Amino acid sequence: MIHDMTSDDHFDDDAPLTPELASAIECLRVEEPVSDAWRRSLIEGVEAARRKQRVQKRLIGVAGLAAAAAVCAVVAHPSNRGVVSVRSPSAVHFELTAPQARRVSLVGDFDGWNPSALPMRRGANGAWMIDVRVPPGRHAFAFSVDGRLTIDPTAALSADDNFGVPSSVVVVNGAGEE
Amino acid sequence: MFSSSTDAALSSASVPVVTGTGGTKVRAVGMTDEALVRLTLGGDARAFTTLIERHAPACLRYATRMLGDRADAEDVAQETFMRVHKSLSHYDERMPFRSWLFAILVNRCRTALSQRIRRERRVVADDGEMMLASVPSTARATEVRQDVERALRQLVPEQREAFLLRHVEQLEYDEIARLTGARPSAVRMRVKRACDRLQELLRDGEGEAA
Repeated sequence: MIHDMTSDDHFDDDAPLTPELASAIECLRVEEPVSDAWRRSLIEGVEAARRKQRVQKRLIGVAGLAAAAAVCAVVAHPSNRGVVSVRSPSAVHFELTAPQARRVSLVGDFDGWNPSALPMRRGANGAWMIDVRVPPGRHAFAFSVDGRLTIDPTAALSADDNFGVPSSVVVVNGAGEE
Repeated sequence: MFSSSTDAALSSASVPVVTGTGGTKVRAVGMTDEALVRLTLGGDARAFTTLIERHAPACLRYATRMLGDRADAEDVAQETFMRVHKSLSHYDERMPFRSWLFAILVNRCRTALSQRIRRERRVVADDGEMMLASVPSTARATEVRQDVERALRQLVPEQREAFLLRHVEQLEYDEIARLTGARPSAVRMRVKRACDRLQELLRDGEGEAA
């Protein structure tokens, strides 16, 4: 008799298992518990990735736009007030009055929208400020106030919000202009 | 495709509620994985959370059995879901979502195993000790379970992978072949040999700690 080993027939699908092995398999089928910390961490990671994807789409949308003039605007909470001004051809002063905030950072296309890259320093009267050198061009940005991105709806110029990330726009002229 | 409900009715339900692309709130109960993928792609973050809730226990189970270490399994499962989320727009609905998910998980486990080989050889001279250290000390982690996992650990990775996918995750042979890249006959052979070896180990008590 010739055994045909070229086909799959010589392996029985689910051949009868010994009671010992069947019991072992049952044991292995017990699901692993999912901890709240793990679930939370994963969901936060997914949310961060989702935000990043939105921002990347936004960056594609704003890329290539020409520079024009310096623009002010941005605020977080209704009690907060912000201002942006160009101090030198490429240095921009960002200031936000947010007396209730515990942590404020500047996020924008110039720092990859990383909330830990540009923490703002707290000044008097609840003012938070930072000076940032940015290349000439049009930049979308926002303030992260205690982890929340927000913007004043009355802002003079804001990037369109098709992707769900509120932001304003600062336009920095080239060298010698302001 | 989805049944809509009022907010009041939904708020009293304990089941996950997601918002459809048209803004209609729907219950995730009975919703297929593929529908949840479409909702996720439509911008509904909670739909993906539902997918995580649905598949995380099995992913953690597979990764824990495959890697023999709960912490490594958690890392791998997280990486898997992150990759799934990132690649969701490339998901082809002709393949069951669970198969696609497991294809990524299997690859992540293989990568983790290969990265761990050096560390494992250096740090763990006694395989039995490593397994004892890796098994969480819960009431569920009985001595029998530890013996089984210890025996499982003694299989070569290819056999352990095929055995887990077939007998623990209960995937079809063709499905396993697709997601592992092996021929169906090779998968069958690995499963068969894994079963034989496990039976031998369990019978002889070789899975038990020294």
